[in-house]
Amino acid sequence: MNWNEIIIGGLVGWALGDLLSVFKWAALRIVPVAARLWTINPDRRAIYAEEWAALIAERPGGILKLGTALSFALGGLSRACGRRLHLTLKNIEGRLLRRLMHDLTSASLGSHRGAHPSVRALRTCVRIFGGIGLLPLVILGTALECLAARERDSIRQIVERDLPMVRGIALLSFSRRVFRAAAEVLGSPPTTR
Amino acid sequence: MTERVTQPTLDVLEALLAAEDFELHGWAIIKGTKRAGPTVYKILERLAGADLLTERWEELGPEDNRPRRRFYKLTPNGRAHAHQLLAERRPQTASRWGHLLGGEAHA
Repeated sequence: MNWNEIIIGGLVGWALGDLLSVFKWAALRIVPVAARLWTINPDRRAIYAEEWAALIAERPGGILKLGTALSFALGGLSRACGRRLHLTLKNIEGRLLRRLMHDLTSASLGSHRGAHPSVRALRTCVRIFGGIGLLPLVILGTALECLAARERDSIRQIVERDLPMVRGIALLSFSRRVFRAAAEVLGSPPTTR
Repeated sequence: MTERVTQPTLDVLEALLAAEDFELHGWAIIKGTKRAGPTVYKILERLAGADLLTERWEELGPEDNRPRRRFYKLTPNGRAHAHQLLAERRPQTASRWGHLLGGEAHA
């Protein structure tokens, strides 16, 4: 072993020791951020920040401390994304419901501005969800319309009068189910805990 | 608790039932269950939300210069619930906690 190797070994050891200190320092800085991401409740944030700092203090070595802090940060990030997505979905749902209500009101008042309200509602849903989920509904609607066209005038009149409303209600219930299922898959609703 | 009961949830309940006075701090639960921290804390939140757990801070002396740990303890209702769940889902281990039901054993 020559002097160069001794000096390089010393420098590497010093750098590694320093790096581990940096890891510990970074872990303690990450924990409050993770707590902030974890919940929207300020009291719970303070509790988790302190508790996780204690938890990290019990982990041996800088790398493990940093790994633990990062795992909490990732967990918090996924929850924050879930919350954000849930709010976005709720906003979309609200907009969609308002639009459907408007369309249904227009239909009941006999106001047909441009397309048929049910068609416009369908178009809104298709734009948001894509058409595949609505296919059964469209097929059902078309089948009912074909049936109405073939049957006597009185039946046709009833179907023509009631179909937009029935389809609107079906769409409403369908869209709510879709949103609920999406919210369940993508994360639990925001909680104050 | 009306939500689905996962294997990590059963692990956490089992760890708490096995603990002295049915109480453990977060790191001890993570270590005992060998589950990731965020997984364990999500479960603890759910259990506390269902009134199956109570929480308290560790009491530190003035010379202790470190962050406080938080202890989680099964309530009597939580103990009964945990025992029932473990009896249903893990009958092979539930027999170990049967005699502890009610908390008298550690009192």
